[in-house]
Amino acid sequence: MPVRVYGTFPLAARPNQQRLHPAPAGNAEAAPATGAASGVRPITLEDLELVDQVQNGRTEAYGELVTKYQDRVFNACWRICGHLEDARDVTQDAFIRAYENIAEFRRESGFYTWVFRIAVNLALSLRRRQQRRNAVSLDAAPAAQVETLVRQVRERRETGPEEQVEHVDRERLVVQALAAVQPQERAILVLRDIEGLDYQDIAAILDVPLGTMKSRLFRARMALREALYTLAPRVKWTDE
Amino acid sequence: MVQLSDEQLGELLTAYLDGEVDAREKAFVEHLLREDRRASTLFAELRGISAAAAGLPRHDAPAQLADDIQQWIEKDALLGRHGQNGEFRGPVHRNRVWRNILATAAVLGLCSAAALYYQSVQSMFKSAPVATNVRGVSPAPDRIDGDLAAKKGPENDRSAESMSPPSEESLANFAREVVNLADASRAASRETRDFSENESSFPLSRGVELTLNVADSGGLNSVSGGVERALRAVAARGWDDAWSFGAEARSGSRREEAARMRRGIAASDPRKRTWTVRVPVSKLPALADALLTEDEGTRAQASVSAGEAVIRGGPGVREAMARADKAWRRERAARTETERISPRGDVPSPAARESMGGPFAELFKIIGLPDGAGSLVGPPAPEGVEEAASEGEAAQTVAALAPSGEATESEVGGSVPTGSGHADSTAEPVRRNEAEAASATFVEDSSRPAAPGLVERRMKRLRDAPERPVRVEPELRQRWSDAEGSAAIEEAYVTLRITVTSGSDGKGEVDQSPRHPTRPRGGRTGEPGRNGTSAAGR
Repeated sequence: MPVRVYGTFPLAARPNQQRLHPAPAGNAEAAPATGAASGVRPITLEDLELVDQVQNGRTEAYGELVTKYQDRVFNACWRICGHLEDARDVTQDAFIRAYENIAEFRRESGFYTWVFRIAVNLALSLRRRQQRRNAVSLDAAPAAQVETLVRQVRERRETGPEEQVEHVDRERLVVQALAAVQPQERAILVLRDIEGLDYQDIAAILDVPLGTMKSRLFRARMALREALYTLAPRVKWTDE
Repeated sequence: MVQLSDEQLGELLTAYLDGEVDAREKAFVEHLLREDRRASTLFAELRGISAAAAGLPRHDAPAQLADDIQQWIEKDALLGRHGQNGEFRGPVHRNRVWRNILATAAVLGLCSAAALYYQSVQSMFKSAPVATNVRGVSPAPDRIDGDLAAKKGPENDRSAESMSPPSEESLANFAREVVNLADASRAASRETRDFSENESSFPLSRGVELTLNVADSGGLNSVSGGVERALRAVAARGWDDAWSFGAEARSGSRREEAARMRRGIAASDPRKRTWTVRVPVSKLPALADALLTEDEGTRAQASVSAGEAVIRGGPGVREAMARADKAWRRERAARTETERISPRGDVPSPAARESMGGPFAELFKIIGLPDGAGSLVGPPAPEGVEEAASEGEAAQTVAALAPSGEATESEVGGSVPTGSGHADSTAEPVRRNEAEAASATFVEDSSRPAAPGLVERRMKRLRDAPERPVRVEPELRQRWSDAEGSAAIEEAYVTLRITVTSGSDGKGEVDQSPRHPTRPRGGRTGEPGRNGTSAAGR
């Protein structure tokens, strides 16, 4: 029997009562193009040139920026929204809003950080709106994600069917657990663990101080752990 | 040695895991990991969970996305929103929300105009009966005189002939078209999401329909509050974004409503309340737990009489349901055909339900719903599945409920016929205690304060609850045991529709009880209830 390890963190550590009354959706408009946290990675030269060209009216350059970052933005939105269609809409909206506001982009942060910030705000705003409607289901989300999982795992050509099934099962659990945590927590998990952004970029995207971001990331991982153990109490998630 | 709080330690380990610590912190953490078992354990967990999330497959953007964006930009440039230097002249009005609002407003305006026009013509006809007999189409008069009706004579008749308003039929057709247009607009705006805002249009597939029938409106309010708090409790566990909640309250037909008002019964006191919850099957046991806890809390207050169907159980039921879930998912994984979706309202008869079988039927056996109290919509029955428990057992199950006072878990569990099958509750104590701690938070809901001492009593009961036997048929046990170790790919959802009704059958007579009726006392299940029925007799 696998050894299940529990930390000393009580479930009640998260003030989850307020989830029933989600805060009004914040302004999901394009965020000001500033680096919210100090030390944000600056824009790359390549991006800088492209942004310059766009600001000078060469719209094709924006297409290059879109092509460069669309996959990352889309994947992050997909994991936050849970719906492929929503992710597509949010990604498209994010790039269009970034284009509309490109004149305000002050180059203090990377272009992708800026687009990510807009996209995450839009995705979270969408989730809040859906929650306010009080009739939202993520049912299609895991279904769609699981379908993709199945497809991708089938393509992987792993050694045997048992391993494939086990792999898919664990991924399915992670997808479900990710869908079960709060959108804000999900966003930070996606940005860090799935997209691999560094702390300063995440702080800039979420517009929070670095210390707050660290604290939130830890809580988000604890929430994910809680959700995983709720879904599969006997599965061992430690990496030893 | 620096003493760190759990939170500080966690943040530090998180930063170390992500390589976001400086040299001093790094040395400190490495020392901690060597010396402190708590730190090393937590770190291993954090690393495992982070790796699990990082290992999720990626999904590239749709191929058309970049082209769509580029097309939009080119179109935007053609429309001249950019100046010669590329700067924007103004925002692009592409907000779909506003577009929808404007479209809806336009349609509503059309409706209003049509209605006003229709009304004005109608009132004109009333005041000018002569004109109503006019047929044929001719130019409208320059001025419609309100005193026309009062005047007689050939001149006035000619004036009336010249009015020739559109016929009522054509007006009605026009109004109908406008209404259809409005409906189409609303439908189109709803189609943007796969889940309608209106839960009633959502098909109850794979659903469990549970009806709690209470004797009077007082009991209804009490039980409804309990159900609501239970749902909130489960939602507060952090699953709210994976759920759909829908609630509706009905007082019956308009005539019944009027009758209630005439009798001085508040119209806002509905006789039927319904909640619809869509949850992953894996979360159903916890919901049942919460409902159970709430029910045990409210039952004493509401004195719900016979005829009530109760989700009951405890850790044992949770285990059994989890096993049923596994078995169901295994069957689903084995079946390749698309699941049949039953249309809304297609609730099969008890006989049809008998032939369905399947794990939800097993859930019914566990829940102990008598026939007629609940209905099941689910996938076609796998071959060879039969429902095992008899009506007598269901009656025994209901009769075993002890609605009076604070019955302990052992009292209730002891009277449940167990047969030879007892579900083994293998939930580990640590985990259960955590779940209990989480589930205990719901009673702090400020919108509906709990009775004094109720929180403490419930928590104590949860803590002290012994393992509880569950009535599980041997063959079901066998099937669930076989399901151990199976893995399913698809996720399954179940819809739980909880309906609380007052009155004898929840759908007939107008509740003629006063606003604060005397609640039936005693009401032990098995004894005749207020309406003369008993659970055992159903």
